[in-house]
Amino acid sequence: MTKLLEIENLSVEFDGFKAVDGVNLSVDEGKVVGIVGESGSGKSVTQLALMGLIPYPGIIKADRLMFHNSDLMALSAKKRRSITGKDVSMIFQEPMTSLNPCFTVEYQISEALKIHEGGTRQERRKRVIELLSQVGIPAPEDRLGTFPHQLSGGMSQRVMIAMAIACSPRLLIADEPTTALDVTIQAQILELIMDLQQKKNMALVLITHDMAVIAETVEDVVVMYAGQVVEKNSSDRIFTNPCHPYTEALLNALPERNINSKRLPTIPGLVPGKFDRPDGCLFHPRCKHAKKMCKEVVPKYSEKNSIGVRCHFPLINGVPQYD
Amino acid sequence: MNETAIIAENNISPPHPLKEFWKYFSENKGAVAGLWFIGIAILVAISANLIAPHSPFTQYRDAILQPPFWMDGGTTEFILGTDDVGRDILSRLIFGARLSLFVGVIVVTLSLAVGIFLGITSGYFGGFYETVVMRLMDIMLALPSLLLAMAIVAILGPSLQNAILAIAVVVLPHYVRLTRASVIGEKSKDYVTSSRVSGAGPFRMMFVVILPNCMAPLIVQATLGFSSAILDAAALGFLGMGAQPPTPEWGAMLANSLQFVQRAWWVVTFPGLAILLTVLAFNLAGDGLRDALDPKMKR
Amino acid sequence: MTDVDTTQYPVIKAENLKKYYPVSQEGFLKKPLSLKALDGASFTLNKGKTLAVVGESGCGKSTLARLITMIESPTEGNLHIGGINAVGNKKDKKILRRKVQIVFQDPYGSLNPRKKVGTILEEPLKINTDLNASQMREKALHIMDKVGLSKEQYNRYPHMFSGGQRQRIAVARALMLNPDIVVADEPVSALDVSVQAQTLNLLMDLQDEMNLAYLFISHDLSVVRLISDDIMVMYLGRPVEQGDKNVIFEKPLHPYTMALLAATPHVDVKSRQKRIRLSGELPSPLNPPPGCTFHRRCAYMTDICKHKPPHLREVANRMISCHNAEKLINNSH
Repeated sequence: MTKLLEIENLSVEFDGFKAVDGVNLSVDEGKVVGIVGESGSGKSVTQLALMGLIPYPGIIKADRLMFHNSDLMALSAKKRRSITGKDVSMIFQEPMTSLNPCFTVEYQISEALKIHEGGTRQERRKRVIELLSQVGIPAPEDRLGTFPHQLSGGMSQRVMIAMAIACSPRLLIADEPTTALDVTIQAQILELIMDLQQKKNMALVLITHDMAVIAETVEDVVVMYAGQVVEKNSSDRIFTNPCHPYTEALLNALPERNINSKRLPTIPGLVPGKFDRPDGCLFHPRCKHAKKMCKEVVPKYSEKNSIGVRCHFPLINGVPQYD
Repeated sequence: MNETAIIAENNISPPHPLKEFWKYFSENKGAVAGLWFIGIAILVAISANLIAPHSPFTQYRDAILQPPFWMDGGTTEFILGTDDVGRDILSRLIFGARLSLFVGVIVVTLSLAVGIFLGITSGYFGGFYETVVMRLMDIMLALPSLLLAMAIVAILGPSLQNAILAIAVVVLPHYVRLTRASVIGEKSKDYVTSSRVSGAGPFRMMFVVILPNCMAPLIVQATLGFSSAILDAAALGFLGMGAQPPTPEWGAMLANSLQFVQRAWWVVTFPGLAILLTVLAFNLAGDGLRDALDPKMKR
Repeated sequence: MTDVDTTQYPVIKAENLKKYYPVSQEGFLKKPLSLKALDGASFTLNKGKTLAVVGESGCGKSTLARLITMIESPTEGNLHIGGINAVGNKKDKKILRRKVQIVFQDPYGSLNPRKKVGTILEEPLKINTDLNASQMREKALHIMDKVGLSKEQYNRYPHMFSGGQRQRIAVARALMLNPDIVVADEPVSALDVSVQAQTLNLLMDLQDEMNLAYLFISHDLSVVRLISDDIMVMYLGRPVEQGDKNVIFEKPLHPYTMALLAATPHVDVKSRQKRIRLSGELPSPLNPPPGCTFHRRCAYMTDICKHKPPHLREVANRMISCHNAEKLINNSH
């Protein structure tokens, strides 16, 4: 299995605030990785950094930022754009605002085709129709001239997906692709994305705050907290036997795990912001297993048996291993 | 409720809104310079009686059209020279500042008050009332503003009060439209609905709940309106339809000295410069305000 | 009417509530269509209980919230709040207003950004009571303490708070007038998991403490399952299945309820259900399909569904509007 994307020790800083802090992430060719975290955990910023979309005054630092044998840190902005534009695509949360309301569906999809693949007008039109039918839009020939405001949320998201896969990318990044959609439509869209991933053998990074969505779709899960990766684990293990106390607490707080109790277990406190970043482990003020060491020493991210965790005393079967 | 007690402890405190505002405003050097100039102009206007070397009305018959002090024939008694009847130009400018700022304040207050009232009521109630008000404003916007102001002054008779009234009427549509647009934007927000659920009446809804949230663009428009009011007043003064002689108004000073442009440039230049600088200062400060108050510009 | 002992009545009794909005059509002289945002909802809600209204966008749940909070009045139907008629009743408006309060979904849009927390909380008191400033302040601080906000936060502006804390402020505001009913319009769907748990706990604590009734509007079935006593599932402006929470979650009978349950993702494998894929999208409420409005997406559709609209009737301890409900009881799902 070849590594498609390799990120080592990535940091993104805004005005002295580390939105992303020492993130390691690797995605193999044709694999699905889920990134889960609450708002402000840095999950979206990580991907924007990869695409080179961090706005001023953000500063990106990384030991290694490799995409398919090319070092993204060393490339010029233009070269980088030509790689990320063709081989990496993104789907965003708000389908209504990610499409340009001034142009037709056909125009917007063929725009990407024109830049990266060329071809005549007729060829492109044929390709657009093909793409629209691939994403499950009925009667695609009739939809070419529609404007985004004439489409429902689910349909717009399908068009977004068609745009994203137009150039047959190697890596598809879906940033909360279903958060703005209804449950039944969410199920349809997730099914579509997973189906296309299989068929086209793309690698997929699915970013979401919804643990359940992750559990039902991906193989490997990365949990982020306050800009750091706190746990990396397979989805078989992480939901039954999480290693990081944060993952454990997050799972316990889910309503579906507490159907018959009258109260939900909660995580006390808030995610640290710009002004109240604690010393030591960033999670220690909210962690029920925290010891003195957690308050003083910053835990390192370590990977063993393909399980990565950033904790001094990782959990085994829910019990912290103090030694 | 143990967990809630802990939440209360964690108080993230971002900077105070005013401090934050100043941070963004002071990034714009031009705006700060504009603000300084306005501050000085206000000080000068207030203490005109103390700092003006002469009375603006006294005519020194032995020093008619005397040039500024650095030129041949100039004296330090009349630093910026004298006009065609021997009045000290510096003193007239200083007292003129008082008048110009007064015109600006009155025009802006008047048009802002009426504009906010019409805009907020038409935006809030909508329907036929809104249509009537907005079409009326459209008609006013369709006429060239100076022409409309002149027409109003011509009907009421030329005087400073009437000029102020005319300018206030002419700029009114801008405030009405701006207020109405932001009211409509705010009206659909949840906090407005929740005030309605609490039983707030229309007066409270409009002026206590919604209005404070519409003020940012209005403040900017008012600052910029200040400069256009001064300019319009000067224009009307220039055309003889505003302040009447011997009132030291910048526009009127300009008009009355036109015939001396060839012989005595200072008589025309200094009132012109005064208008230019004041208007520029207000525009710069207005731009800075807009940038600082507009959340979209914030990084 | 005002001196009626309101404790013996259900806090809300709604009968056949309807709300139509006129929508002008393109083209001159064409009759305006009526958009049936809510097309006949009936329910009762008792003190201290929670009724969850479940459905996707456009199903009429927010319209229902607007009717119950008396922001709008229904086109048709009866609404009694605490035994007092709430339709076209100007006389008792003030009393009625105090009984029903609302909490919104978006904690960022629901608080006036130019007002301090104290002012926001005291507004309902200022409008509806004769309390003086220090009494209002005392009451505000008392409620703030109840929802887990500290005294120091009284003088802060909403933008200084996080989403979860803002939602606490919104809850506090709803409680200022000691209401009987709180309409919660998706109160936790904009919040993160850990904050969501805190907020749900708060809502449940307050319910026990103050004997509040909640009309809990949500699209998230796992949250609904936790917090509600009764459920009303809505589709295109109409309730399709309503009844006790346990009855419906254990054996949903309406194909739409089944599809909703199946589409909800779960973390735990054992709680996952066989996928029933709903094809197609929500039809336009301006032009609903004839017969059962759900028939074009329904897996159990029969001929009768295409022509005859089903009525709400009782089958197996719940109200359901489906022609084939009896047949579906023996279905394996």
